[in-house]
Amino acid sequence: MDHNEALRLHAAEKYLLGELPKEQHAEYEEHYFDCSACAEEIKATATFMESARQAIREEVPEAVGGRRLVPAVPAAGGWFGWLLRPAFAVPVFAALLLFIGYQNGVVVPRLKNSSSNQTGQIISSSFQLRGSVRGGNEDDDTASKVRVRTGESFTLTFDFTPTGTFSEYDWQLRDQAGRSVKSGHISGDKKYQTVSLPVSGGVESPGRYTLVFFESSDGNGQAVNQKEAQRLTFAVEFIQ
Amino acid sequence: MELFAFTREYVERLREGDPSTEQHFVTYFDQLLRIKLRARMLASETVEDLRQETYIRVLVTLRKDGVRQPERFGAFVNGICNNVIQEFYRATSRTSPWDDTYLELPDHALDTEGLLISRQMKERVRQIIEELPKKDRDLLRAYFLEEKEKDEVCALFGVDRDYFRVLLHRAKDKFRVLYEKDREGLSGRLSAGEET
Repeated sequence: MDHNEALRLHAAEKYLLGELPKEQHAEYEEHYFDCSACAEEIKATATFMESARQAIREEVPEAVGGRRLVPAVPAAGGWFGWLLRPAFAVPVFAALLLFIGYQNGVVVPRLKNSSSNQTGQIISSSFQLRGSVRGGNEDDDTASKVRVRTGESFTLTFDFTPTGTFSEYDWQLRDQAGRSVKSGHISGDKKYQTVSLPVSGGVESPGRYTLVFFESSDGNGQAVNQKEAQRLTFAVEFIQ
Repeated sequence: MELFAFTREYVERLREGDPSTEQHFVTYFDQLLRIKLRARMLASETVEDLRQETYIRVLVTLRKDGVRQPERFGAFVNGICNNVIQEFYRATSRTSPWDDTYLELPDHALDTEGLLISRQMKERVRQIIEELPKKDRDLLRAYFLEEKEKDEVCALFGVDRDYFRVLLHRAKDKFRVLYEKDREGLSGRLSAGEET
């Protein structure tokens, strides 16, 4: 290590802070013994560090005991002192209380309401559908119940046990009147597996619903002799 | 600042036992040897013992064999000190073969305790610290006062090691300028006193 490299590296500080790599450490030691400028540099750095340590300890004896790094909070009489004077503080705190009351009584409930309406795409509930019944009794009182808010998305979880083996199945969610309110496809790979089917946007009215699966469409999306493969019935109840 | 250069004459005077040269030799290397030995995290007593041993060996070797390159007398002292350190480690670790693990230095700042610090030096340091921006002032205070690891202090103040090192470097440079002025002023007053 030469003099310029020692200066460029800030070698004196690094050495005293224990930051010089092993190889440079030995090289720097050899150098500062041999170079009077670097000898003065490291002596000055070590002296400064020790002087600073001693000076700071003498200067702030109370902080040594208190172990305080963060400056203390300014006294009340400081720049912010006027904020705490009654003439200012009383009306301000009264206004604050009114504002908080308004927030809690009006704004927050309104936001909650709008949030439940606007979060139609967020799935918050999941319901297990009992039985995997083909041609099951739609009037069965033991049908699974789905309790959601109007328009609230939910997930139906069930065992997918369709008849036949197809690469894909179609499904329809039918209301009590037999109208299809939702529809989609499910891969044949899911056969004999537990499937979670999201019902985005939920349903518009309570009542009995049926999830019906059909065998096959052809590769062009054309329905060919659609035959029912599985049917699951459940009841939707709206939470008030 | 006047830098000292070792010469053949200096080494000859030291070899012949010139008291003022011996005094200079001890004064010049005292702090350097302390710094070097302290960097090994050795106990204060060990530092003192090894420093004394280094002085003795330098003088004995000098009187017996001389020095081939007098202008590199500092490197010669460093080499002797390395030998002393190695022998110390050999003696204290007889159960295991010697290696150079003594150079595996922990990532700790050097303990500079034992350096002679005058009241004037501390006043100058206070002056420099007071002139720093508040953040830098607090950073140095946290480091020197709390004796926390520098990485911990740096993290606390949201700065990195480089920032801290540069801060230290700049503060030290200011300190050095003031300190040199003090020394020049003192020697000027002493000279003036001698003339009158």
